[in-house]
Amino acid sequence: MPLVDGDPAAEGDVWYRILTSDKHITKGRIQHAAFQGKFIKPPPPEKNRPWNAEASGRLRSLAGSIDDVRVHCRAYCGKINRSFYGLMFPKEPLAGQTIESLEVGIFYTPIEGTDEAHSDLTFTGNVPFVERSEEHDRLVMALSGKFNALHPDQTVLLPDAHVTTEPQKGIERLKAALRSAINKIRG
Amino acid sequence: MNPARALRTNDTTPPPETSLRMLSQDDPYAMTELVIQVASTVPDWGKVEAYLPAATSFMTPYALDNLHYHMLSAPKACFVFAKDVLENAKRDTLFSCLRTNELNKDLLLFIDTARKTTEASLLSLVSEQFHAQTKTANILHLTGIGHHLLLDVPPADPLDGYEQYQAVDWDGHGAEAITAETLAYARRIMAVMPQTLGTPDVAPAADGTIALEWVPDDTTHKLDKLFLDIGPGEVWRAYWTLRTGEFGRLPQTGFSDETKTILKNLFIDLSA
Repeated sequence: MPLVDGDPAAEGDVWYRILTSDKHITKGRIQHAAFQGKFIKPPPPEKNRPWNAEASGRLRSLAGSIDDVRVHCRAYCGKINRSFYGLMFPKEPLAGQTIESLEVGIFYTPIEGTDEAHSDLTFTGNVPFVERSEEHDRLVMALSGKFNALHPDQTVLLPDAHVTTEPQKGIERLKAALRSAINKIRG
Repeated sequence: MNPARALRTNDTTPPPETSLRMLSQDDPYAMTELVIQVASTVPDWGKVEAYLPAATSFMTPYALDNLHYHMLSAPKACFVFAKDVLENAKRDTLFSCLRTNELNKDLLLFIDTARKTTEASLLSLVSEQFHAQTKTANILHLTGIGHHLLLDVPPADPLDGYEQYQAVDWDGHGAEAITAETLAYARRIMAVMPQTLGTPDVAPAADGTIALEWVPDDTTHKLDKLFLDIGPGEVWRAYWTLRTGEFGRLPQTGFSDETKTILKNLFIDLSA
């Protein structure tokens, strides 16, 4: 069954994000500057998402061939008048992990007419949005070790999705909604 | 490569062969035996090391299996590639290593082994188009033309070009501008930065800061990671994790005589 907006990504899928600064890859890893600023931001209120923060990316399973990935990266960067400097993707499956007390998920969030493979890396919990706070620094520190980096000519090394099971959409959505509600109650 | 930045010198005094100490191609340990040179305060432009930054490693990539190790361990590496190596079947492997480790912050020289001796054209270094992502600002680009040398001196300022981040949305994702004040302040801070942990990896951050990081390759080092973010404005803060998992943080404001001492003590603490 095809994914619909708000569905969790299937186990084995790969989330990846386009890098638009050449200095955000250093010695084969992601420089922590890549996690500053608007890397994570609250979801649009009108979407009523069951998570508290998200980072934009794409799902490998929906991105087509590696050539398609490459073409999209260049087209995307061209559209925002930037250069394509590479990709980041998790070193290991992040969905279900807890990073600095935040529950991590990967959810399908297509942008109609623009990016049908769009997906968000999501964070549920008390997200430290205040930049340069200790909690934010801790989160940046934790995230910095979680991703691999690829230069544009290494795009071929982006792992394929190995989707073996249907995502537990109902259960995952319910869990996410419950977590979000609890978090809101806690303030 | 930017030939417009090249300077010409007529000093063709060649460095002695021993300054290169290039080993034979059949020496499997060539990578581990090379020279660490120390920068001279008064450059002798006739010597190749005059064109290199301090603590530069000279290496030859004959033993490619060892190349990876050296790339990770050298704080600032200069890879002196014999042209004949580049022309053989190992070339693709070599370039793949380069890309993987993003050595484009370092120097890359191409040297013709046939001219490694004391010929006047010893520094007939042949640069080649090798990777689109290479940061041209950090390349020492030498080409021998007769008895002359063309050289492109690497910038001492790691913030060279950061003026481009003074516009908002420089990343296409709504980044905040890195102001001229932040940039000037970062230069002052970095001028007194201890070198005990090596050269930091520097990057612009979308929150208007300049992000420095040190990640020791040595897994026995006490420090796991040290981040030091400068700005916006005249503030900086360091935060780090030790290999024990302990997290630490040190926010600071302004610049005074104490700043250098604070940084020095921090680096000592994190290195001990």
